[in-house]
Formats: sequence, C-alpha cells, structure tokens
Amino acid sequence: MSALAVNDLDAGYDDFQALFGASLDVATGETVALVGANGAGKTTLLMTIAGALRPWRGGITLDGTDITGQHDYQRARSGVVLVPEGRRLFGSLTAEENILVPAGRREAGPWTLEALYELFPMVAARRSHRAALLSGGEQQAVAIARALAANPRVLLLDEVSLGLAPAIVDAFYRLLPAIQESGVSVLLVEQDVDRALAASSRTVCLLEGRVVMTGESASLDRDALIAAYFGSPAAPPSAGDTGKVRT
Amino acid sequence: MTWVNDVLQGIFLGGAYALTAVGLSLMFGVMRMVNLAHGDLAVCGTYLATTVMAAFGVPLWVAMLIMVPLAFLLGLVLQLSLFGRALRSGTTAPLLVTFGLSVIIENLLLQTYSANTRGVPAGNLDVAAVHLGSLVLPWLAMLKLMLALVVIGGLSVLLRYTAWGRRVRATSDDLAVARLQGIRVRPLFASVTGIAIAAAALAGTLNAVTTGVYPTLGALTLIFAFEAVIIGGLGSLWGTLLGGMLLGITQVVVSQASVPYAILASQLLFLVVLAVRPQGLFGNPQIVG
Repeated sequence: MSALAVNDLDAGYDDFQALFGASLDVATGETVALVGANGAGKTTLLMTIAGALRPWRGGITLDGTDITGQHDYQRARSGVVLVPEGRRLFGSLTAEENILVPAGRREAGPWTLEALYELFPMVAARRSHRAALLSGGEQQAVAIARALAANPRVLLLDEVSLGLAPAIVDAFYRLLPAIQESGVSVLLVEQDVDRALAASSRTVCLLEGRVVMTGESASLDRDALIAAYFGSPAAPPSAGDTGKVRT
Repeated sequence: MTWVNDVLQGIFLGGAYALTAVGLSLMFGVMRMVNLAHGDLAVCGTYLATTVMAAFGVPLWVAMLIMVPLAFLLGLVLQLSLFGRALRSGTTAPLLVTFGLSVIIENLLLQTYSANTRGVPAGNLDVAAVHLGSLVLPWLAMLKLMLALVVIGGLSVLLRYTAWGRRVRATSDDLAVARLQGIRVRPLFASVTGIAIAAAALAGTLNAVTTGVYPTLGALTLIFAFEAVIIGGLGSLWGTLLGGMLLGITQVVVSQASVPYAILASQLLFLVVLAVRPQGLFGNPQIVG
C-alpha cells in the first residue's frame, strides 16, 4: 500500500485551474521526484497535498486513510509535512526554536532534537542564532529539520536547491538516504532533471497541470522526459499538450 | 525636590497607562489587529466588577477575582466568534468590526446603567499613600505600576520560554507556515485575546477607583492606550511600558505649570513621536526582545 496516494486531483486559485486530474503515489520509504517547467503546477500540487489549498476534485490518502477533508494543521499532525519553497522559517525565532515549534505536536519517532543535530551539524552550531540571520544553506537545513521534527510519514520538499550553492545542494541530497531509512517517504520538487533522476526511485513529470509521464528513474528515457518536460513534439503520445513548446 | 516627586507621579500614571495598553499592544503584535473596542471592553470589566460587588456585597478585590477570569472568557468568545472571522476577511474588517462593537457596547451600557458616573468603592485605597520626605507614594498607583510590571514581565517570559509562546511568535512571523507545521491558530489567538481583555478589564477597574466609570469612558481609555502603544513601538510590550511612562511623566510635569495644557502636552508628545519616529521608540516588529 502506498504511504501517500493522490487520485485525480483538480486544484487551483480562485478561477484559475492549475491542476487537471493529477495522480501519483509514493510508497513507504520511497523517494519520488516531481519535475516540470515553471508554472506546471508542482508547487500547487505540494500545497494541495499539505492542505494549504483545498482540491476542487479528487482525493488524497495517507496509508489508505482519506485525508482530503483534513485542515492543513491536521495533516501536519497526521504526518504530511511540507518544506515550503523559499524555506519560510520563523525569522524572529532561533534555529532551535524553529525546530521545536512542531515538537509539542510530535509523534513518537526517530527524529529527536539530538538526531536532527547529528544529521545537520551546521544547525547545531548555530542553534541559538535567529533564523533570519542564518545563511541560505543553514536556513534550508533548519527548514528540513523543522519538518522532520514532526516525525512525518511523508516529507514534501519544494525546491530545496533554490538559490543554494551546488556543493550545499549535493550535501542535502547525500542526506536523503538517511531520511528514507527512517521510514519517511519523500516527494521532492526539483528543477534540475538530472539531480531529480539521481535522487529518486521514480519520477513524475507535470506539464500545464497534467501528469504527462511517470516512470522508474533508473530506466527513464532522459530525452523523452525532457520532451515531456517542455511539451515539445518529441513527447510520447501519452503527453497531453503535444506541439507546444514552453520556455 | 518637587520635580522629583512630579516625575515619580508621572511614572505611576505611566504604569496605569501601560497596564491599560498592554492588551492592545499584545493583540497588534501577535495578530496585526487593532482592537478599537479595547477601551470599551475595559469599561465592561469595570461595570461587571461593580455589579458583582453590589449583587454579592463583596469587596473590590473579591469582585476582581471573579471579574478577571470572566473578562478572559469574554476575550476567548469574542476572538472565536467575531475577531477571527474579521481577521480572515482582510485588513479593514477588524477595524470595522471592533468599531461597531465599540458603538454597541457603549449603547448597551447606557441602556443598562444610565449615563451617570458610578463610583468604584475601594475603601480608602484611592487616597492612602506612603510619605517619604517630599515624595508621595500612593498605594493604588503603586499597585497599578506593579501589576503593569508583573503583566508585561510575565507575558515576556511566557512568550520567550514556553511552548505556547513559541507557537505565538511563530504564528506572528508566518501564519500560513505555522498552520502547515501543525499549529492550530484559532485557540492560540483566542488565548491571546483572552489575556488582552483580562488585562484591560483589570486596568480599567483600578483606574475607575479614582475617576469613576461611565458608559463612554472607553473612548478616552482607548486614546491613551493607543498613544502608549504607538510611542513605544507597535507590537513591543516593553515599548508600551516606556510609552505609557513618557505619556504619564509629560502629563504630570506639565500639569505643574498649567493643568489645562497637561493633556494637550501628552497629545503633542504623541504627534512629535509620530512625525520624528513613526515606528515608535522600540521600533522593532517583535513582541519580545
């Protein structure tokens, strides 16, 4: 059974529809990458899974339980936790306080403060500094630690590499196996297709709000994925909007 | 030596202003909400205390022990029923809703208690004082200053060191992300408003021991509380204490020269601060620190 399953989801903002029948699933301890051009609906999908947006149609299940009707704060407690794009730490709180915010609500689990400091030594070193004053890499580490502190079942990572030096991004991706081994499923949004393929067991490609390709990351035809990514004519017949090139 | 005594009386008056204003400051700091009914809710607390005293024949302090928790409950209910909804409907809605609430409260009080000024009997608490040479230390004023320090200090400690305070500060920083991290905002905001209204009701009742209470007193209460908050810096609790002190000292010192100009002087101080340093003296957007 999948840890997270998204079934036929329509969602959007006011009268703008951003997702059209999107479906995907993530198994326990699996990492699935979500790729797509800007505006393809990746962030909208993560926000809808996290509960910040109400889907117009379709459902979301966690370990087989329907969580579509749950509020955002309930989903975080059920075990679906988002690391938002741009990190969005609580700037006036210290690094440690940021991590402790969900702690009162935490499920029993492996991610204690000590375990998190072991995973991110740079956070431990800066624990009493105000989050707003940390570097981008340190802030990203705190954002991931804050999400893990809730001992989630499913971790949603929205562009953790955004605005960070490649060496720091590499370091984050090297930590991913340790997070997976604790039984956490990961759904990550990544602009860099090669990094997405390398980090995940399966890759899902979104184009203009539709899932146009899903496959094993190891055996996926990279050229076909790039074609699906941009919706160019080389995309396989399953692609929705063939003939359009998005930049 | 009289000017030393004047400054001392100003500090005492400032303590009263700060205690009145701390709830306004707290609500703005946490929720970015200006509660225009703040003064009227303080006055409600005063009427409630006098009603309890008359009904059960108990002294003021017993009535206040009953009234303050009820004011906290009133704050909870108001936040859950009215203010929360208003906050979710944009930035002007809370202003309109609390203005409307203010009008409703004043008229309900007029209907129920008439326009006459009511005394708040407190034995000789309003005149009792300790004399140290030329210095006068009135018990009531000392009590209000001490309560202001206890409330502001206590809130600062709660906000800085408890899980509740951490959640309040996190929500104040970024409400949407706080919810995504599992924080339930509605009961959290309700507790904040409860504390704010309880502190206002406490201050309003002690102030009324000297001045008496009448239905439209809330508007005047709001102006001074608002000025203390603005002078100190929006959302800073210790700033509000300092703002109250400056208002009080200005008022008392000027009143030695000319009583009619005393109130004017404190309003001018407010205007000067707005013109020169609009973010307030502690112009720092955090609730503590």
